Amino acid sequence: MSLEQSVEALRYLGLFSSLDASSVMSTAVHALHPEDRVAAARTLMREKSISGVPIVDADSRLVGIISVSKIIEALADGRLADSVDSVMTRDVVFLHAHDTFETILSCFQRFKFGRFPVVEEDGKLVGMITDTDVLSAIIRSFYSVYVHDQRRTMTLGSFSALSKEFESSADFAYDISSTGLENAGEGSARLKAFLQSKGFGDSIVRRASVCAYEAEINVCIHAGGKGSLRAIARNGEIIVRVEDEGPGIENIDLSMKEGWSTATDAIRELGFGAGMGLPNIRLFSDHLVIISGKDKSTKVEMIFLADKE
Amino acid sequence: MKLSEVLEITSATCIVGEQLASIEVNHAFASDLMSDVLAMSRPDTLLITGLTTPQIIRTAHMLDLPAILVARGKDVPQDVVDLARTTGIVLLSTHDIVYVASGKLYVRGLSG
Repeated sequence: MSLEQSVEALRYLGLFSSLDASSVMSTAVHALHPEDRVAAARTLMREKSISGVPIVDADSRLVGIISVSKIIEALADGRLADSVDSVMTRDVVFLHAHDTFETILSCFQRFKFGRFPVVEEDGKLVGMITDTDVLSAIIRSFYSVYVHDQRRTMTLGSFSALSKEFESSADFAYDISSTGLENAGEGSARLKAFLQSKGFGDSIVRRASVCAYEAEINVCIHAGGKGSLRAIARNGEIIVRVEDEGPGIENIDLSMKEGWSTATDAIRELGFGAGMGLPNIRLFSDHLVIISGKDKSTKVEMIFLADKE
Repeated sequence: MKLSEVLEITSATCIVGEQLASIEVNHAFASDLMSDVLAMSRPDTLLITGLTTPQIIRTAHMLDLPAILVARGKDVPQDVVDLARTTGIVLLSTHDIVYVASGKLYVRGLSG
């Protein structure tokens, strides 16, 4: 399958529908002004390991871009002391902040540049998009794991939108209360029976049950066995949310790695704590959001789509 | 392979679910690590394990595994037996160790 076909397939799944240029771009942008010297652009590129520098006017509006090839030309012509204005490309291919993910991809395919400036309606530069940014956005869409950083606001919208519904009218609710591992899995067993009674297919029920079970085990292992397991199951979609009161996951990236665990030997003797819980959940869920932090509660929301099977 | 053949090949006894001996399993998975079992989502599989905790039943239940073969002739606690009964999971017990039970079943055609 070619890259284009892969992207087409992914597009079909709607994975990138929420991504626009403003959510893909890097906002830590290094720009220069037209009156700066070419030598300054060369220094900036070397120090920041970037291959192109956007040029903005006094109002931060994009007026040009200077690339490595322009620097090389200027070097050959001995024009390093000249102003950026005299060597920059004025006809810049740029993106708007609200451009869709498809527009971004087609830009990369059409123009073969390594980077595109992103501007607001008024022409002000707000970010840059490189192929690395695009790749990061794709990976984030797959894993959708967000911790306490700026990316969080992106998904928190959808997460908190469901919060009220989970509080007031979840289709399934179970209070996890277990002193050891003995009762761990009771909630997931009940959830499974509930989902079967709702007429969901074997495969999606199995995936949701396995993930709920791993999350329930995590509450029992790491959060003193106190938490809740709730689900909203309608319109061919199962959303499972497992919450506890802490102590939280200090490093979510580490906890997503297979084999990484903070569980005790006693837990391991029971067949768990081998660092496969969250990786398993990631494997079997279609979308996954984890919100946690050191000394914070942990919320794990997993979405299972019947039509993906 | 029918569960009745599993019983015969490993000289096992049936603790729960004798009436289900005609059920077919097409694969087996041997592990004491339930998360590894959960990572392998294939319903028609026999779980072979040395553990006797309630979690072996829970794990089999979540994955729709029809049966568990407990190795090394360990006593299975009553609460685990009860859980197998309520969840409809066949529970077998053999005196063979996991390695030997797995080997016997493998050579008779039960694949991984």
